[in-house]
Amino acid sequence: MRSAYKFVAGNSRIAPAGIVLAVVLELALRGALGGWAAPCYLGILLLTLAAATLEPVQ
Amino acid sequence: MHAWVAAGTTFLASAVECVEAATIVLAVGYTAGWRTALSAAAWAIVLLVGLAALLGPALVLWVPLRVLQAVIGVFLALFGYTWLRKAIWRYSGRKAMRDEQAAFEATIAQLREQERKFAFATAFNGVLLEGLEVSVVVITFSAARAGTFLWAAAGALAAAAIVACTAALLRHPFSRVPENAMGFIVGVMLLSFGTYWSAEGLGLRWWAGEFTLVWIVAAYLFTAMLLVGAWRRPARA
Repeated sequence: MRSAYKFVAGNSRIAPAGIVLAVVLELALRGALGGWAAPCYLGILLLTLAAATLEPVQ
Repeated sequence: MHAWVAAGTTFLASAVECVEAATIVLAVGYTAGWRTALSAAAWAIVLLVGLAALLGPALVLWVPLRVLQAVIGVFLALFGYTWLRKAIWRYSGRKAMRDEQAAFEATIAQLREQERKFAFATAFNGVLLEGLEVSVVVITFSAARAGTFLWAAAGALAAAAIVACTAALLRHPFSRVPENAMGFIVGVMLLSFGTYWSAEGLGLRWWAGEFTLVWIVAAYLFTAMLLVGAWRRPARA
């Protein structure tokens, strides 16, 4: 289980959490965001990348 | 555009993983004999090709495209984060650059301490694990967009063939291949495709259609370069 997690997510906790957050926010706020939904989705994933690089080096 | 980009991405991803697998096979070849090393590598390759050939078309046939795009996009994004994060750490000096010569020497030292029967397992596991990620990437590319399977598989197999032939000729680890830079590019591409497809799977609409992929690649590339600069450690005096 642990090695499968390492294989898929590289032992990062922030990357999967960021993706889940982006998906949930998009599903919840899609109507309100309108045409901005896709750029906001990209923005959250870009911030996730920055946050994931702050995790301890493995 | 997707077919060519898919072939290019799988070519680069496969080249990086094959270079690492070749280092392990060469180390096993020099310590336990070429027959053990090559037979272990061949069994692992048969398993990987079988997996890609079975799962790729099966997914397209049985799973709805929208669901596939969302799930595959998320998987590709996760792989992309792993590759790109490692590349950012390496280029900012927080993690040592991958050195095939050092990896080769470490594997040889490890094999000399172990019994001979572990040599086959080392080569088999090395090729299988390095190749598994490439197989998953080929499967996901082919499942997310119809008609991409052959292009994605061709890119991966071409890189594998080039690395295998060169390894057979040189019989030395590839210390001059710019695999750190290749890993950086693969990370950007996987993350970009993952973002694009997962958004499409969720039903989001991109402003510029397929052309948005170029902007997504540029956004990740720019952000990754900014992060390399931001996290770079000052040189020691």
